[in-house]
Amino acid sequence: MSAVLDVRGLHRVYGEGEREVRALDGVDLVVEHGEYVALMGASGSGKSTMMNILGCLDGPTEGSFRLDGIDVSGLSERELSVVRNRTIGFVFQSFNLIPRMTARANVELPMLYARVPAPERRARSTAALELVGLLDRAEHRPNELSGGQQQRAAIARSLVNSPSLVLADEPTGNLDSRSTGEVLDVFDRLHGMGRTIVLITHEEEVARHTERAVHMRDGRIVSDERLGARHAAPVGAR
Amino acid sequence: MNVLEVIRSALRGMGSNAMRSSLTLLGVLIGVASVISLVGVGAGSQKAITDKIDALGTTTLTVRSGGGRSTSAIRYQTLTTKVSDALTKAVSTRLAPDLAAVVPQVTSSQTITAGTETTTAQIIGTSADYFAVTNSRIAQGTAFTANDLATARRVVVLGAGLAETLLGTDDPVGATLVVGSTPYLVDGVMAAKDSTGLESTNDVLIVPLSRMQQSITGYGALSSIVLQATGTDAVTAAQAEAAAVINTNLKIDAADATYRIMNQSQLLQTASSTTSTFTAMLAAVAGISLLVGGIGVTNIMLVTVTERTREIGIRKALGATRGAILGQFLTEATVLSLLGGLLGVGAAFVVSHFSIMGVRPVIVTSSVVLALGVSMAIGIFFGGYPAARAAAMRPVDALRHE
Repeated sequence: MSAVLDVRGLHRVYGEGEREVRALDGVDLVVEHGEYVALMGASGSGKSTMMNILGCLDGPTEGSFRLDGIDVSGLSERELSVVRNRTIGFVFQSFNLIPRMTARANVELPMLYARVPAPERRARSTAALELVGLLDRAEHRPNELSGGQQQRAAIARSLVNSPSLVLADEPTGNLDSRSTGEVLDVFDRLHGMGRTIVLITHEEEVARHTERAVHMRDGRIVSDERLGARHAAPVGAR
Repeated sequence: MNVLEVIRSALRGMGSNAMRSSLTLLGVLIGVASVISLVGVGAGSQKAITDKIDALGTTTLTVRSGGGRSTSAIRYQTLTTKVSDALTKAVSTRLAPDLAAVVPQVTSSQTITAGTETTTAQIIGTSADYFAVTNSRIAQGTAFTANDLATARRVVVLGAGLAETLLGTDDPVGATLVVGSTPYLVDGVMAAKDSTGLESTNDVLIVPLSRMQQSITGYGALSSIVLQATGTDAVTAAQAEAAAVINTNLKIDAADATYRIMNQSQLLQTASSTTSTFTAMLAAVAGISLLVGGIGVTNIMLVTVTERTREIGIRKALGATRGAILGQFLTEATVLSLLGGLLGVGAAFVVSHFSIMGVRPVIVTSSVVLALGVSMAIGIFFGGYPAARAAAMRPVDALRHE
C-alpha cells in the first residue's frame, strides 16, 4: 500500500524577479496511512502554502506530489475536483460552512458533488453527525451553532466521502479552550478509527495530541519528530 | 447534483436576498408584460380596424384620391363634390345600375362647445345616406334629411359618446352646440357603437356636407366617397361603373387615374400594413425594456458572484467542478428571469382585461411563447458571464476572499 502523502523536492515560488518569494523551497514529506501528523511553523514558514498544495487547491512550481499513489501534478482541473471530493476532507480555521444551509445540508454537500443518491446521503450524514456528537443540531443553520459545534459539523462534512486524508488548517484557531478540547477530542477519535490526519497548527498544545510533529521554517522542513507513545493510550481515556 | 436539487439550491440562493431578487424579477416581469401587452395592443387595434371595415358591410366601396401620377395639386382637385354629384346623378338616372348610394365625406377636427363644456372631436360632413350606409342607427331625435343638405341647415347628429361628454344627462335633441364659432342645432343622437380601434366612433359629429363646406372646410377636396353597391355580387360591376363615371367627369383615361376605388379586402390590406408597422414599433419599445431587464439580471448576478466568492471557494474545495459552479449560477439566473417571465405573462393577462389607448389588447400566443423564451434566454445569456467568472475562480483565491 502506497503512502497517503508522498512529496519530493516540492517548490512553490510566487512572483517573479526581485519580488520572487520562495514559499516552499524543497520539501520532502511522506505520511503513511493512519498517521496523525501536526505540521507546525510560524506564520510565513510556508505551512499554508503546503496546506494548499496538499489539498490540491494550488499546484507546486516544481517537484512531485503523489496523493494516495496518484501523481497529482499531471491532473486536469476536472480531475483535481474529483480528487478533492473523494480523497481529501478539509477542515478550515474559519469553519467555512455555507451560511444559508443547515448543518446536515452542509455535511451532505460533498456527497452531492459525488452524486451519491439521496437516501444514502441521508444515512451517511446521520452517521457523520452522530460521530461528532451533533445529530441533535442537524437541522440548525451555522449561525445557530457555537464555534465548536460549527467546527464539528465541518469535520463531519470532511468525513462523509471517506477521504484518504483529513486535512485540517488551524482547526482550533478560532475556538475557545473548551471548544478546542471538543474538536481535538473528535480528531483523537478519528485517529483511533484509523483515519490519516494532517493538522496544521502553530500551537504546541494542539500538536501534543498528534503522534508526529513536522516543523517548517522558511519553506523548509527543519525537524520531524515522533512524539511519545501518547497515541497508544486508549482513545477516550482522558 | 440532479436538476431538482440545483433548482432548489437556486431558489435558496435567491431567497437569501429576497429584496434584491424581487427587484430583478420585477425588471424582467415588466419587460415581458410590456412585450406581450403592447403586441396585444397592436393586435387589438388591427382587429378593431378589421371589425370596423367589416361593419361597413360587404357591399361598400371607398374612393380615395391618390395613386397613378397624382401630385398633391391633382389630388386636391380630384375628389370634389363635382365627382360625387356626378356619381349621385348616375345612380338616380340608372346610368350606374349597380350603385345604390353615394356618400361623400369631408372630415375635420373642431372645437365644440355646449354651455360650459368644451371638447375637440372629429366632425364629418356628409350626405343623409351616411346613416344607412354605415349602419348608424339614430337613437334619439332624427337624422338630417336631403332637404337639410340642400339648404345647408345648421344641424348636427351626435355620436353617443360625444352627446354624453357635452350634454351629460340633459336631453340632447334641440340643444345648441357651437362648432368653431357657428351655433348648430342638435337634430339627433346615434346609438352607441362598439368602440373600434384607435379613434372612438362614438365621439363624432355628423353635419350636412354643404354646411361643413360653407362654414368649416371650404369647397375643396372630399376626404373620401363611400359607395354602396346594390348587392354583394354587384360590387365588381359597381366598381367599374363608378370608375367610368369618375373618369368621364374628370376627363381622364383609366390609366391616368388619380384616385383609387378600394373594396373591403383592399382596405383591409392598407389598414393591416399600417397597423403591423405600429405593432412592430410597440414591440421594439417593449423589447428594449426586456433588454434592460436582462441587464438587471447580469448586474445582480455579478453582485451575487462577488458576494459569494467565499462560498464558491468552499464548494470547489469540497469537490465542485467548474461545470457544477457554472450550472449553479446559470440556474439561479435562469430561474430568476424565467420566474419574472412567468409573472410577466400573468401580469399581461391581467392588463389585457383593460383597454389601453382605447384598444382592448388581444393576447397573441406567439408573443407569449416568444417573451418566455426570450426571458429564459436572457437568464442564460446575461447570467452566463457572471457564472463563467464564478466557475473560473481558483479555489485558493476564492477561499481567501473575505
